[in-house]
Amino acid sequence: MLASVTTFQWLIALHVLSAFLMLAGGVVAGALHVAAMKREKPSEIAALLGLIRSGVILAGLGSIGTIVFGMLLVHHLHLSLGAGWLSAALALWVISLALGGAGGRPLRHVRYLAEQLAADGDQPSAELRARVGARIHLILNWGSGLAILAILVLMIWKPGA
Amino acid sequence: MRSDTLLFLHVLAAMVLLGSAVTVAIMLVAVTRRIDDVARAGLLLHFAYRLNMLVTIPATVASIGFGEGLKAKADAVGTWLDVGSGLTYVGVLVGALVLHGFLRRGIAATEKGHAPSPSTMRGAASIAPAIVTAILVIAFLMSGKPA
Repeated sequence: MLASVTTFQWLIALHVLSAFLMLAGGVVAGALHVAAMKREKPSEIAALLGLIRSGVILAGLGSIGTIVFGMLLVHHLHLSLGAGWLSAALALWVISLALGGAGGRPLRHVRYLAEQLAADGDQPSAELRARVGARIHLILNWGSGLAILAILVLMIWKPGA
Repeated sequence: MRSDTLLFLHVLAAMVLLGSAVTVAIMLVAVTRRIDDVARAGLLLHFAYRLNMLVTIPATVASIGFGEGLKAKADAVGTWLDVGSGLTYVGVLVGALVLHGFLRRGIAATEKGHAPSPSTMRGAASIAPAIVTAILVIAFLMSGKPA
């Protein structure tokens, strides 16, 4: 079956697979963040936030793959980057990365605090709860997810194409 | 429902499904690495159990439902579709249901204050990555449509 796969089929499959990894990484990070917000003990919060790294790696690989295979597809199909739906998707890709990075980085420091509190007796801390549930992180991370969703809408409906 | 809308919902459900399956797999690998930390294992198994039940299984059903609607509307046929559909039913849906049983057994052990048995964790930690692999193969087949 694989012997008959054309260049276009390889490119579209790898592009879609990368998009899957990108959104999956976001789901991993979002699910673990929400779970951490519901916990009290610093050791539990540290355990959950510690696993977010895997989601970030997945999202990073996916975002590189989507742009590389996406650009190769544009070249292969002789599409113009000036097309509205393509330039909007590219802009949203950049916005998604920027929001995800800005929302995710502070969580690393929250994890350090949780690990420190876990080592110092593992007592619930108001400061830790406030920092893990800070609305700004949620808004930035959800914003990043919404940008990916908007890219998916553009890729399926291709308005103006 | 229009084909575009069905495709959007089908892909979205599949993407959420992959995210959820990967999260469960990551948690199970984390539990296996420090199986003697009963409190940590209990926390991660509980979360993996809920995610599997509330997201992975419903997202699989939604993805199948929208996919079947799309198949009927587009009158699609091909080996890629047969292999992809078969893998979704057997590899993902049945896999998630079997995993559900392993997770319940693991949680029952931690609630009694014991570490989950190595055989339970071996089972769970091998099914979860297999589900993730199946989803990636299905995504490749469904988007590339080889042969």
